[in-house]
Amino acid sequence: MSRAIVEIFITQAKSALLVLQSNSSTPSDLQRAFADLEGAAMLVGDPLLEAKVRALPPRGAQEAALTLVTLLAEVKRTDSPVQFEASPRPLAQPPRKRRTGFDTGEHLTLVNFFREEANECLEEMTELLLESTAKKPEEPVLNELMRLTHGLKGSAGTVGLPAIATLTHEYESAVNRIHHDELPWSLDIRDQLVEAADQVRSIITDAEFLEERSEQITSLLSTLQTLQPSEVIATRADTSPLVVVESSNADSFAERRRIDRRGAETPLLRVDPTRIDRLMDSVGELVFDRTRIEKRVQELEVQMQDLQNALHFLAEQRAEWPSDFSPCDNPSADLSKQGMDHVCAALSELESKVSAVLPEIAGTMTRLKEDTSLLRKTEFALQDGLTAVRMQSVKSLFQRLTPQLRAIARQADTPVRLITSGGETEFDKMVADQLIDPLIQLLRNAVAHAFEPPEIRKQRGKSPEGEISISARHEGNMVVLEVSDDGNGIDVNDVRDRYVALGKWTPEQAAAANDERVLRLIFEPGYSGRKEVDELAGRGVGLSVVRETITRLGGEVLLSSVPGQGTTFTMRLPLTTAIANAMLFKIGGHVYAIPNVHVLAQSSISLPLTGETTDLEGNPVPLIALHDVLGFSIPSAQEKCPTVLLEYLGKRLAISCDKIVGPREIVLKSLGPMLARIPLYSGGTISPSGKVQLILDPAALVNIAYASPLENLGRSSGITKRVLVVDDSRAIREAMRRMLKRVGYDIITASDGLSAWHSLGEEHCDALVTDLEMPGENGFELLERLQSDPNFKNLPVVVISSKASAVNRKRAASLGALSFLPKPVSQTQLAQALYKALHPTMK
Amino acid sequence: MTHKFLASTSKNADAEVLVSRPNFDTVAEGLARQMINVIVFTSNANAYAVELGWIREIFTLGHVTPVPHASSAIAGVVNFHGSIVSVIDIRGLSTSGQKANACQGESALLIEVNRSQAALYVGVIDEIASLQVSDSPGEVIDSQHRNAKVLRPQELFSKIMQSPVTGTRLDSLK
Repeated sequence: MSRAIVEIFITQAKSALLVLQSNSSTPSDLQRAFADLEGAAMLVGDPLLEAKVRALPPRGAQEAALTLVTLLAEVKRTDSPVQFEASPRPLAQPPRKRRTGFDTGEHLTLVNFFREEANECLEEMTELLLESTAKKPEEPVLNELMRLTHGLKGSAGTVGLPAIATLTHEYESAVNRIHHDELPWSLDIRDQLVEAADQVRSIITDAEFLEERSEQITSLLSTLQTLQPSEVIATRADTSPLVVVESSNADSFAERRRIDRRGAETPLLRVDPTRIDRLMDSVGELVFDRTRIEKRVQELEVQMQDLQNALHFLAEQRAEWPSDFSPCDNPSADLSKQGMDHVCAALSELESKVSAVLPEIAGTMTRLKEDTSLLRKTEFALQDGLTAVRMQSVKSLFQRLTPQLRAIARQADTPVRLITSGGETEFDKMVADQLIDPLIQLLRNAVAHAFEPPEIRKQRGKSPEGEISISARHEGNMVVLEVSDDGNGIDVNDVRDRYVALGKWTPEQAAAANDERVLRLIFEPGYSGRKEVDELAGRGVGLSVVRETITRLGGEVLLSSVPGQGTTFTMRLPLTTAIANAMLFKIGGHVYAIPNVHVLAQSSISLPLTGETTDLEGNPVPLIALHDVLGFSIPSAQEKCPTVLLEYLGKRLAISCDKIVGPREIVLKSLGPMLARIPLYSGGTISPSGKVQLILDPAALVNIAYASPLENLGRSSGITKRVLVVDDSRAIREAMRRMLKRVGYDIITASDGLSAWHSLGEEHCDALVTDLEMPGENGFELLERLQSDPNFKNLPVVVISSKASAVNRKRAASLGALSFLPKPVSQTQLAQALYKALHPTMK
Repeated sequence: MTHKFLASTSKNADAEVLVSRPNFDTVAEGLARQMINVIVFTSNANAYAVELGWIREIFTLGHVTPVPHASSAIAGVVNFHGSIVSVIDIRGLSTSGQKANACQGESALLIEVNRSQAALYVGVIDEIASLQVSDSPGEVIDSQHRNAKVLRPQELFSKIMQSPVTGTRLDSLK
């Protein structure tokens, strides 16, 4: 059991002692202190300790304090006071509170503690198992495995997860049987153990909802219990469906242990990632401070140059004076010769003094520059160090993939050989965690689609089992992960046929498209290479999800395939999610950023904006007027408007802006919970001058651009616009609510002018649709109110009335109505009128 | 800023004495009338108070970057020691439809609720004082004998986070 838990107990005991010794403690204080202490004792898991703690309260405060002091000394002295299994439960112990009798919050905290610990344990177990070969593992390996499972069992019991405890108990006894040769070791057994460890991990991951996993637990239990030297295993011998080869040098167990033990001397620190983020923020501050200092130095340099120039000027002037300069030569001067001499002497002294100081200042400045460059180095070291803290080697990612691939291979009954290389490559744990699903999908695809039948493989001179290799390496600031198989490759013409069969292309389109483009189609949602759907593949979602995840992470996935030889998926990912390359541009005086991986090109376009432009190849792409989306007006003076061409998940679009600033390396930061719900932004960054700049999310822009024109008018700027509908007829209100909801607006309603006015005060609205004739305050009166209030003067208004006389139209227009529709209105009319009212800049 | 700050604190020290002496005739009454430590500021001619416990820092706003489509109560975002925090301007919450409008160089309070932080724009701080809870619930009486509404940051935060202004259903498009 971990020392940390003992520390918790010690802390609790100390505070209980304080309470006991304090004169001002109330009985309830005491009660709470004892309850806490009891909880901590239970966490430690030593029944004897628990019993001692339980016996404390009935004694007097004095005696309890004394006992506690002795207890504390005991706990502190013994290095491992906690033998929570060995010591028999004292008979005298009162009936125990059920373990699960912790209150919910307490229980959850404990479960979280346990989960972290268990994950580490299981990871280590998996590692140990995977390192073992067909030969029975050495004694120390088995001992280590027993120690790990035993520890896991104890912790599970302590935190009140009896099901997990039973499960790990079975695991332990399975290892025990191997140890005592009751269960002969084989690769198959090893695989099953690895798989079981993985299942335990997945069960623990949602340990609070164990009831829902009871089926999985039961089946896993029986698997572990029936781990038998059965004939099946004997016949299958060691043809496990998966062979894993780590191509880098695998250390011997003894050597690895030695390293581990060395590691154990400096215990690992578990740190909340937000703390690292905060440190990262401070480094960012440091960068601004340093930049500011550098700017000051530059200013100083200019000022020194000015001083030097002034000195030169003085010297020049003096040189022009005749040597026997006398005031008598100059009638207007009334300085005596003597006075003039004084001035000359003073000037020359000033000149020589300043000249003497100048090189000193220059020297100081040089040193200052050296100092700031040192500061810059330290700063980089800090930044790199902090980035490295988040790094994790790819090895652990590979390890999590192996059991998955094993299951997939077994399910498909396809023998597969996995070769991994570059396991030592490090990258951001955040990125790694999100890569598991896409990688599993790629493995699944490879197993399901890639490999030819064994006969053909033989003919082609390939080994009978399919070979999948995963490699990782660094390339500049990116991590490159490659998943390749030695299968059949992808037949481009097959893809063409499938796409035509799926009804997405005409045969002509298919014939016209080049191979590269066709190959990319397999990433499109809805594409499936299989005609029939089964467990493994054929749903047509796999690869599109892979691409989406990789793109979200700011990476890209490429595909190459040689018919008959195999397919390779190359994923290029940023080393860390904390820093990104971004394209910066200006709109309405503010700088915005967009991840550069999605930027194809920059261009410019003539005003007015039409909502469409063309890409590099001349194909039409939708154009989003970002001015409109962000609520800025397009400067009229500009004749041409710069645009940025983007591609996101295979969809292209252009966005307009005022000025393109250019590509920059930026530190990504969260905008915080209050702004997280706005889909338009994926985050923010801080400029070198300390200003916050918003990062636009290309996914939101694609959604805006590709939303069908009528369906999503209400969301045309990425945000659902809210419309207030005012009509005295409930039926009409409801009808309009449905119409507008269908085209994507958010609707609130009011039955007359006055209640509409109140609604406007309470909730933000982007537009108003109103009837004219209403009981109480009518539409005209409402419009008058709006006109007289500066906050609502510019609210877009659409009027709908059955009294569509010219007089009424004119009066409504004079009160700011942008459209006047006669009743009854159609959805299209209403949607178009509203769209025009909301987007005056779009034609 | 510093100057104003100091001036108001000292003024308040007097005010506290003035207010507390005549009002608390007996110890019992003193106990009944609870005192709380607050910062008082004026927004839209109304006085508001924030309990000191919520405030991590009083700072001068740097460049405020507007965030299109954010809740009307959010004036924008600022760089606060290297992290990005939203600037809340309670004028944006009022029913009069006023816009949030916090500017660089003015004062704000850094408030923390459940580990999430935001800056509350206050403009100018009137006083930092231990003030008496008023008879009307949720208010204190400040040194100018005004009733200052005590803001509850947790409610303020959740109101803004739930504010439907930014509500979009873009996700449903995916």
